[in-house]
Amino acid sequence: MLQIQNISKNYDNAPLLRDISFNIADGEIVCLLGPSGTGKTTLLRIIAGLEEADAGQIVFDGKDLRNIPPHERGFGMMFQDLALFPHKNVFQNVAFGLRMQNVSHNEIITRVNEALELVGLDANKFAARDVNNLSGGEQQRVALARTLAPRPRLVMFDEPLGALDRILREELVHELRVLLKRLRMTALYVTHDQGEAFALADRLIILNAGQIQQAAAPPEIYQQPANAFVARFMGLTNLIKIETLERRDSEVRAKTDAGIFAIAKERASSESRFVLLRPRALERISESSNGTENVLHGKIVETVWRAGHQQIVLQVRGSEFIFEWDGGIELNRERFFELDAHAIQFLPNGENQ
Amino acid sequence: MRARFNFQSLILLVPLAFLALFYFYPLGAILGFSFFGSGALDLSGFQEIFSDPYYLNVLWFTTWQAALSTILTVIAALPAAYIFARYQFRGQTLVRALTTLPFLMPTIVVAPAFIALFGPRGILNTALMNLLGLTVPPIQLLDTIWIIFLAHIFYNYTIVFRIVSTAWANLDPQLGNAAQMLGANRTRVFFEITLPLLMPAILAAALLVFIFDFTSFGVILLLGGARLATLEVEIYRTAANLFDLPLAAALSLVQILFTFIFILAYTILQARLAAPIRLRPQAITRRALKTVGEKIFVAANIAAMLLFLLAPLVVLILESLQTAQGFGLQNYFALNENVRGSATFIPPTDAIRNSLLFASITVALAVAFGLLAAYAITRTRRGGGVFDAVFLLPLATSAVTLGFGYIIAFSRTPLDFRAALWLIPVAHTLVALPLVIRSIVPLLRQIKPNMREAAALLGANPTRVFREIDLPIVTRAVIIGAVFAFIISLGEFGATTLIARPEWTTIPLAIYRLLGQPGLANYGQAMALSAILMLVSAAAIALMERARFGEGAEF
Repeated sequence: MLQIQNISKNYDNAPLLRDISFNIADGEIVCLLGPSGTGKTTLLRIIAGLEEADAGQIVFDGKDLRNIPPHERGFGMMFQDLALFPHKNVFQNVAFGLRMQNVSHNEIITRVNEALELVGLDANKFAARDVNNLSGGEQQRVALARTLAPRPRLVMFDEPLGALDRILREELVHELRVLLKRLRMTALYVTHDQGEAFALADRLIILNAGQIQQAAAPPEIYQQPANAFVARFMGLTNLIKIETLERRDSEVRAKTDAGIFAIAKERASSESRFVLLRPRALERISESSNGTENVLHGKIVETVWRAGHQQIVLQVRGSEFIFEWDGGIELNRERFFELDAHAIQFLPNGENQ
Repeated sequence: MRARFNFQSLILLVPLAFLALFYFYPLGAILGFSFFGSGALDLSGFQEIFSDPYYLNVLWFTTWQAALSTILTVIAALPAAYIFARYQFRGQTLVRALTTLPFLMPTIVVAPAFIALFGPRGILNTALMNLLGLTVPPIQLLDTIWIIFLAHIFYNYTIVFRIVSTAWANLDPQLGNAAQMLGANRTRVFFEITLPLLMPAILAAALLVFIFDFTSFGVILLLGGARLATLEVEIYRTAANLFDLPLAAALSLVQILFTFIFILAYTILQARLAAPIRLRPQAITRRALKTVGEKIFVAANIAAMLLFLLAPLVVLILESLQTAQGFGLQNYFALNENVRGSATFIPPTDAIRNSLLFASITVALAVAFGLLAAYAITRTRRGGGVFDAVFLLPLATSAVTLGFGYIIAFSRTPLDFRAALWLIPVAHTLVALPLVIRSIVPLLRQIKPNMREAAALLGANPTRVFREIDLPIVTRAVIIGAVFAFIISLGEFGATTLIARPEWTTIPLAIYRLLGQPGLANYGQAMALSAILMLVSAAAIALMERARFGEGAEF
């Protein structure tokens, strides 16, 4: 088990990582997800031993790794730009880690071939190839084979698929998950692409401004974003700032520019700063309204067809909201849009904390 | 298209004709003279060279001193190359700029500077004698191989430092990290990853240094004494002192063959250098100094580097101010005197005037031909590479060989130029031209056609386009080319010493003759004249570094 304990790191006198703690169980795939420049790569390099933390510890299987140099940690890492050795061919690249372990020559050949087969490259065809003349996808596979061949105790990925186009990327991410599960590898994967993270991870850790925003399984993060930042990062953009929060017996009412929203008391906290309207919250469009709560008054200005659903863009007093709606619509007519209270969430801010 | 091609051939024709008459023709004259020096086919010159133990010795000495000097230079320059590639610190740009000084200094200044530092009258010996009460100078480096090694390292340090440092800085540190993650310790990372990837750069730099050391002239002539002679020095002595022109021609041909082979090897290596290593912006690969150990390591290296590269130059100035009456400017005042039967034939101030005159003509010629050639090279799609190579050829021919070629090529009608004053700046132009072209071509390549198109689309008329886009870049190219030509002409020694008449004595010739004479006055004047040459060169280099500075800012 990998334990990250209270890691902090300053960069140019500004905090880059602040008191980061989490564990990775054996055989678990964890994705570290966050926008660029939030210290994800730095955290990875600290775990690898390539950089030192200002505070905190990295513990693996109960052992503090503080004074262990990177080449003795037994971790593997696949780099953002792959870092294939340009002066070595495919075989020599994959064999490098095995040679460092003083594995016998015959076993190196067997294991390099194994590793190449594992990533779907024909060893006979690729072993002697110059790494500089491979396609982008082939280079990724060679880099993966090189990382896996020495059988690392923990394997880390630093946005290794960033340079590929989306379709190839989705294909490789799927293959990677199948492969990692088959090998029962413990893995930590860094990315800023939520699609990649959702497809790969057992558990997601959302990082922003040097702090963990939320750590949970992918469905939970999407269903229950911990704060407005996580929601926005998950593509949930229907967020309205709360003006005043009023607690009643069974419900909490939030007054906003776009109207009044009320949800069950258990589902709101005192830190709530934003109302989140989930994309499927829209229940009914009507010309007159029955109530004053959980209703938006505005007009549909646009429709977009995306991922098999019709999305409507709703304009309410200068703000725009997007909902999925498969029913009939009329453009540019003032209407009342009634929402399902269960698809409304109150969230804390989450940014600049 | 056709009309354009003709216009380009016309542009090329001018510098090509110049090259044909003043480079290929003298080269041909050497070739002819080495085989037919006595009228009929005569191979006795070559026979002598390859059978006489004396000449075999010269050949052997030339080779091993160059090889050892090169190895020592590489070893000396590697730590600094690493430091400048991987660390970022204050004053880095200044130190890097300062390292250009030794490399661009005329050899004729380097030798007096080393004499000023290590010579029997030099600062180190004087200090030690005063300190320890000795009557004999304790440091006896003159006329030994050691001072030649030192001077060669001093002179070529910058080449290795610059080439390797640039390659190292562009090397992706991620590769080393990847090797570490795969279980390689620091030593293995260096030998398995860093060194193999740097090897082409190290070899290219080493080969260039080797070529310079192989054809070393001024340093050996002035510091090596009578016993130590390279092929280049031997050609000079055979032609100028023994007047055995056929033998000198045969020696020249042997030398030319060697240098051509080396240049060819260098060109091939250069092409390999462009091979598929993905370069990284230097901002990513360099980092600030963190630990105290790193700071000490870097500071000590920089201090040693500056001491070694700048001390000889500073000491030269100190020595030039040293007189029998203590510190003073007497040596400088004495430069104006015309002593009857003096070593320099004319007052040294006249030599300064001559040098400035020759340098001015050289600048005009070299910049004009350089611009024409560079324009043709950059604008011709096919064949540009061939012309590039043709114009680089003079670099493969040593200055002494060139001067010797002039002696035998231009001493008979109709090409009897023995009395022609302009022959000296022409020779200087040929020595300078390859470097001038090399410095202009990359700048002209910066002018991309789409830059002009973009300017035009933004509303600039053709005149405006030229003024705003072409002119600023061309101006910089001209400044850099002019400075190169100026420095080279001022310091040119090998060719000039063979073709100059006494009344055309230049600064380097005057320094050489003064150093060859006994007496404190001559020594002092040599130092003063060297100091002047050094300061003028340094000022010109500073001007060029400022013009160059913008290059980096482009990116």
